[in-house]
Amino acid sequence: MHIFPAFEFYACGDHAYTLDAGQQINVDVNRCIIRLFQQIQQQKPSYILDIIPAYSSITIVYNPLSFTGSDINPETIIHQCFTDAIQQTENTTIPKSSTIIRIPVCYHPTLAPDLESLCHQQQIDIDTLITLHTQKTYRVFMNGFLPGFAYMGTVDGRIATPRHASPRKQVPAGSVGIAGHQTGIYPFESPGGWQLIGRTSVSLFNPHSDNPCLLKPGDEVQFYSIPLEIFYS
Amino acid sequence: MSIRIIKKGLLDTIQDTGRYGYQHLGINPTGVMDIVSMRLANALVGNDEDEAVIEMHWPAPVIKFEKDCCFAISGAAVIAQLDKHFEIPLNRTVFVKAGSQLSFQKKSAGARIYLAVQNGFASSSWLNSNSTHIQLNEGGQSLTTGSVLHYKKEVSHAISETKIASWYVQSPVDLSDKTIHFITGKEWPLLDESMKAQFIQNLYQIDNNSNRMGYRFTGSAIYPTQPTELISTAVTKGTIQLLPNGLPLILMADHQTTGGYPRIGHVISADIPKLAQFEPGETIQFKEVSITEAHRRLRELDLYLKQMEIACKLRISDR
Repeated sequence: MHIFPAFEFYACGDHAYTLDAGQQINVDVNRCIIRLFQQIQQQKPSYILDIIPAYSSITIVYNPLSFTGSDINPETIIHQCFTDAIQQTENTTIPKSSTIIRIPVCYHPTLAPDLESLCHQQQIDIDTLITLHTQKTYRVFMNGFLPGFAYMGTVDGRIATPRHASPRKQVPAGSVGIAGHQTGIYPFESPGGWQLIGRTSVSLFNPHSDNPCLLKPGDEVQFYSIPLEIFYS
Repeated sequence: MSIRIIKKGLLDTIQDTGRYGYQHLGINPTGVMDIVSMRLANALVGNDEDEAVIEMHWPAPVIKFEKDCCFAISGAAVIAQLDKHFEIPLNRTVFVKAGSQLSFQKKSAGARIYLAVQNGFASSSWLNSNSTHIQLNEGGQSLTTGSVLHYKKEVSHAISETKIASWYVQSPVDLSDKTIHFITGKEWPLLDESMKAQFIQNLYQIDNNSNRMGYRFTGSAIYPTQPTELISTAVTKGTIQLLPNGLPLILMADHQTTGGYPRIGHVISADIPKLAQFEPGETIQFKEVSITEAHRRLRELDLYLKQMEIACKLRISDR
């Protein structure tokens, strides 16, 4: 059972409105956001182009031209859409994720350019980092940044490290990184600023599958360590 | 084969109005940068407004029509020629016989050129859109030397000679006006009055490092009253993020779905096509409007394009 948290409602341009439950990485808030996303997705009125859930906010992208006549105010209609959906989801049970997705990661300096510097900075050895990163089960809070990229958290304070001030031009696909208390995996080669501590060969995004993303909001993820030989085999 | 790329240009892709409905998976919408030029080109050949077109940059490609074709070019001010001597004006319906080659000699303004063919291209659809997702290489097609494209349907009447229709449409976009209208964003209040005033009074020069993902600028930097780190939230086309270096970044067609930089404003939808035609080196100035005004401008633009679409359909059916 849940009560939806207090929120702000604001325009995100002339074709989107955001409902924002504050700047927080909080599992309960994120559950409410995802439940709300599912509810609106189910009934998706035709003016909606996209619904984008994030950590603690959800945004409706709409087509302003679906509202003909200047007397109809999209703001009122979308606000109503959110509040109706909140009413429908409040006091319903949110199913908790039952399965844990286990992902093999090779924590080796040749695959992870920030592994040694991060350990040095945090004054821990690599084995401790591996233990700290693999012992927790992480929640997928949201997809974003790249197709199939999952923002997961939260990592142990002893390995939480800010991202690089200037991003790398190329981060290899499968790189596992840390940014503050978040952890994530690059699905493709891309520029990126996260601290790279390992790599996986698991495919995170399959464009031709009905479910293209391996990791979706609400999923539970646990990493396990594999040696270099296994990674390459 | 219907058309063949004889020599590739800088960046030639198939684009439609974008791939919506998948941003919750991190799949960005892509689509044309300048929807006005796309709609004009489609209107001129009698297509639906959202039919996929070729979006070209400069230098532009050389294209061979291997079958008769009815086409139109819109967008950047270019000199387009068939077989290097037959000049093709912008925003006109052109009937061309098989075997002709289209090339572009000179560009005097604008950044992107659009080519629509009657009935559209038989390009590959991914997640309900023909827009090329450049990063994933999915949907549409990235065109390179030797690429071939088929028309969905061949022209209904055989073309006896290459000719240009006597009528034309005019673009409603005035590229000489460098004002870009915006509505304020959630983090606009983080700027104090003098920073807000600077943002509006500054002239921002479009940086070389600008592309389909976003436009970067050079100019005098502005900063929030306190350092701000935000957790990731959705961003949209036109969102003006304030980068840590104090300069704005405007998100364009290939933008990411979420971001964490302060959103000081959002360029209005009606001004995105104009911005998409500005090139690095040009300067713009921001001007604030209300959402109501943003919507009024968008409806006005849409109405103009709808009128052109209807007028063109009548002209084409007269033929």
